[in-house]
Amino acid sequence: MTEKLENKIFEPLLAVEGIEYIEVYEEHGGYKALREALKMKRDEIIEEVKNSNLRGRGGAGFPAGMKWSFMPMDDKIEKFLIVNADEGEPGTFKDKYILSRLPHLLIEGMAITAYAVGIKKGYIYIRGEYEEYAQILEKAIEEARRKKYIGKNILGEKFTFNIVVHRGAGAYICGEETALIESLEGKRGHPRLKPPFPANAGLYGKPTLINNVETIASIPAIIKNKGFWFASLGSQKNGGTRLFGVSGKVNSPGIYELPMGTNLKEIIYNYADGIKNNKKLKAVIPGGISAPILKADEIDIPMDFDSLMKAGSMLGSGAIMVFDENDSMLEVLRIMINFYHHESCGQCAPCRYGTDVIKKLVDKIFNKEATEEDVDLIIQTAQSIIGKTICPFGDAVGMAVGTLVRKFRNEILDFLREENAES
Amino acid sequence: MPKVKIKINDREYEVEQGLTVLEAAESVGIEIPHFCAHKYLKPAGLCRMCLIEIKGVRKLQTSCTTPVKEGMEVYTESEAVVKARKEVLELHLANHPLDCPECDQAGDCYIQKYYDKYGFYERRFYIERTHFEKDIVLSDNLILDRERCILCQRCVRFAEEVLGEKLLAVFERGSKSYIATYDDEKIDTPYSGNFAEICPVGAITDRRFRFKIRNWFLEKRESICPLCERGCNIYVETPKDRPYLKMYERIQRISSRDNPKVNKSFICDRGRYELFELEDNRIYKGIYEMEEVGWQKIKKILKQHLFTMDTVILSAWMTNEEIDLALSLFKDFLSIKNIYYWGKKDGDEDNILIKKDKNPNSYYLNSKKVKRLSSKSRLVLKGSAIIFGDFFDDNDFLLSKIEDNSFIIMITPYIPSNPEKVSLLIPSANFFEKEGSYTNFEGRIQRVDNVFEADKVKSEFEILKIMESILRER
Amino acid sequence: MKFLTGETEKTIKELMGKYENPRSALLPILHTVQRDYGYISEEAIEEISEILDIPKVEIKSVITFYSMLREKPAGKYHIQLCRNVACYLNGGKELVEFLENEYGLKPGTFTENMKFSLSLVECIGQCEIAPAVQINDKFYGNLTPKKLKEILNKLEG
Repeated sequence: MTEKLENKIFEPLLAVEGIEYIEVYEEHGGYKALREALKMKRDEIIEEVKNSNLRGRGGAGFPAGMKWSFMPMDDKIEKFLIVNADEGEPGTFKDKYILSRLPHLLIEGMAITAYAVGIKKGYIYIRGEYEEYAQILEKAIEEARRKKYIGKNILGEKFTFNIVVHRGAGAYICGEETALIESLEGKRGHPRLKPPFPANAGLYGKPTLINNVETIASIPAIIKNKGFWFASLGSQKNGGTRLFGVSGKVNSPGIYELPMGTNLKEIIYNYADGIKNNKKLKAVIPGGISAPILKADEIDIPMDFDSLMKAGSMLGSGAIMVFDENDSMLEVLRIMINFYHHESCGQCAPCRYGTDVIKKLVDKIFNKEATEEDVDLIIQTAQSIIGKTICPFGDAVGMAVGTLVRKFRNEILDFLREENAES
Repeated sequence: MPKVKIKINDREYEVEQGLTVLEAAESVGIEIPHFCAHKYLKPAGLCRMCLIEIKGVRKLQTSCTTPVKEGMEVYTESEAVVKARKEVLELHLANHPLDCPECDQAGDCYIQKYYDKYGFYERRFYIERTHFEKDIVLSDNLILDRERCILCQRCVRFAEEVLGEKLLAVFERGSKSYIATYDDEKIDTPYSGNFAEICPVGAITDRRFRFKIRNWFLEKRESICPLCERGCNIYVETPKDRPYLKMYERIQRISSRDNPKVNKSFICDRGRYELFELEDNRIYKGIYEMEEVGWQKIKKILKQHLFTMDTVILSAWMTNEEIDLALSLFKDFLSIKNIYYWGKKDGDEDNILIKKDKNPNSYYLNSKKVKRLSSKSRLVLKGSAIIFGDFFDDNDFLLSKIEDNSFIIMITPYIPSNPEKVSLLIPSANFFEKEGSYTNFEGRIQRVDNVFEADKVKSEFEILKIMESILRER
Repeated sequence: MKFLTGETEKTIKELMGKYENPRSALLPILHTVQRDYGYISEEAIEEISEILDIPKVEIKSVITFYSMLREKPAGKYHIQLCRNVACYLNGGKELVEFLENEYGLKPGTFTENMKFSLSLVECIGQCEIAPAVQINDKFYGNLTPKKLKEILNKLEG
């Protein structure tokens, strides 16, 4: 299927060798959007972003334009921009392409954002494991500074903006915006109580705008081609294209830039070239491990935030994980709960103890010590975590685990019955 | 403070603006269970026990972090809230060890208290509980049991917010989290006892109280601490009046009593652990010329010597009423010029609770312009003198100023270090056996009832009354 | 006696200068110390505590929170093998078994001369080239036991 490349913002650039170098980037239209933005009025820029229906690409899907408008406009207040490059959601690998191959696109997006909202300092919080990509970023920032795309008096205007790359150290929870801020302040990554929201009191207590890498990287194209163009690429209320990352039992795993609302079945069979070795599809996790799993008969669904929410799942980070008939859902459950157990920050009781109880119950299943009631107990415990925690991590555990066990209860019970028959 | 109108469980209340929903509910007598919230610590929202329903808000909210707003409608016992509470409590109990039979906190434990009202009762989790070390010596006075800890972080927050020092922290994350000091160093603070009090469960317990007596055998009686001029409000915990408790000493434990204006709900370790010493070295009979004497004889001796007293030394441990009565007798009636007072010598002070002056009532004496004697005074006691010596050490310096052949009457609950220097020793009631008012360092008058009955001795007030009747006879 | 050398100290001062609040430099400083010394020792904690004016217990509290920071040395080549969905179900499990059978290497242990050590880690963002590992800072994907063996053999030391 051939797509018009003018309707894509990442793939055309990713196809260019050396695009991570500023000269090549400039040759391909780089930093033109920044020049244009500097000629616009700041609230015009925010208006364009609102019109674009760009929704947060990190997972939550919050409308970016609305988030920007929560920030105070007064420039006498110190404000911060944070780019969330913590990319920790299992199954997600899209941001690393932007960080390592399109660093200038990100930098340009950050500069435009900073100009529009009136911010002088930006931090890129990049996960500690991405050390290689962090170094590429830092080189690119140096290049951009030398050409005055960032720094003091950018392109001769009275606009100052500096960027610091800050590394995380191995904590998934630091992808949550307030936990990220705590980590950036040099503390444990414990999510904060909300309110106050980062737009009122974020980094060092100052108004802070925090967006995902891909969200910010979408900004230059929105400035160049205007918001309504971006909105038209996607589906209703879900503007633009996005990077879908497909992994698992498909023939062609990788990232695919496709319009929001593209059918999940289409992505798996037409773009990722279907199931490996001609096996049968069993299940799909559509948006990273925290997105409730879909059975094989549930994948005929548009991939946008609203459609997936209606189906009881979520678009999340657009990380599509494909399972075939030979993948054990019990094994998926084990990996899933071990992940949540390991990554829970531990500050609030329902999540700290809930993940522990569920992990122990799953261990019981594997140790052949569990009963059928234990399986239902997992579902009930998962349910009891939802809605009670400080941050959405607890909700994610509850929904992801609960949905998986509910939908594949029979498979798990079969395993138990087999085990019991053997013993 | 301006008020706002809110509804709790469909009833309208007027509560102070600026309160959290938890505080507002408590102020009108509605209890909302909680572990991590504390009157004097910033809200943390960690334990999730205080979840309540607010009309118009989809998710349950923690009442400890939600400020009241005009027109807010709160439900603390709705079906959703009660279910949530049960579930949160069940999760708290999932890893909690079944230590009640050997845990000092039993009877005074938040988990027990809430389980009574909100527990599921039918156990569902049959899993191996996570194990941690159970008997870590946190300080000379404290033991930490990490298995019982529910990570409410009250101890961590208390150290940081009230003491201004990061003494404890959380290590690791998730269900592997635990409370620790750096390198398991002992924590060194004069407020260590507060950690055991502030811990809602038996994770941090008081070593001095360990296995001593069960909480439900104790009765809390109100008093203040006399060991410095702040007069922190305390409870003296004494065994209940039961025949099977008769063998226990009458002071089992000292704990803090909430007073927002004086000491909040904290006391220092001296008050907590040294007040037991007020019970030691008591005298119950008068001593005259090396022999025990009763009150008949004491009155006779007083009749002989009262009118010829040269000097009176009052004590900074006397009550306002006793001081007034003493001054009216000695200064006004007998016109004695040499009236002073003495007390325990000054010590350290800090900007938390501890004050320099280590006596409960110096302020009142100062306000009456009574001069204070110190070890540096060049006063020599000759002729006849009455000394009121209510406290239990430091007698030395005064008794060393006594000239030979002087007649010294000493009124005290305790045997002095040089009893041969005292001509007549009159036994009196100790601090906990007296009632009266004390004026603290900011001029605040606090009235205390006697905690115990002084059955064998008289208070200074009673003794002064006897002196008054002797003086008025003439 | 000072423990952190001039080079490390220089980097530390640079890092502190990048932030409005120098406390934010704590994580980057811990990374630097770990890179320069292999792990974060008690002496390092004491000196960082003085430089940043943060109580030692708080620094330890931060270190124990983050998976990547360690207070004990790792091997010269620290193998971080992804144990999450895409990797583990697509060959990762076999790699774990291979490392144990071939090198006697289990999570948390070392090979002789401390050349290799192994941790099982959560998703490292290489799902499209699963199964993947990270050795020190480099990523390796599309692995089979054979390919992994080649890679390990090529590493010197």
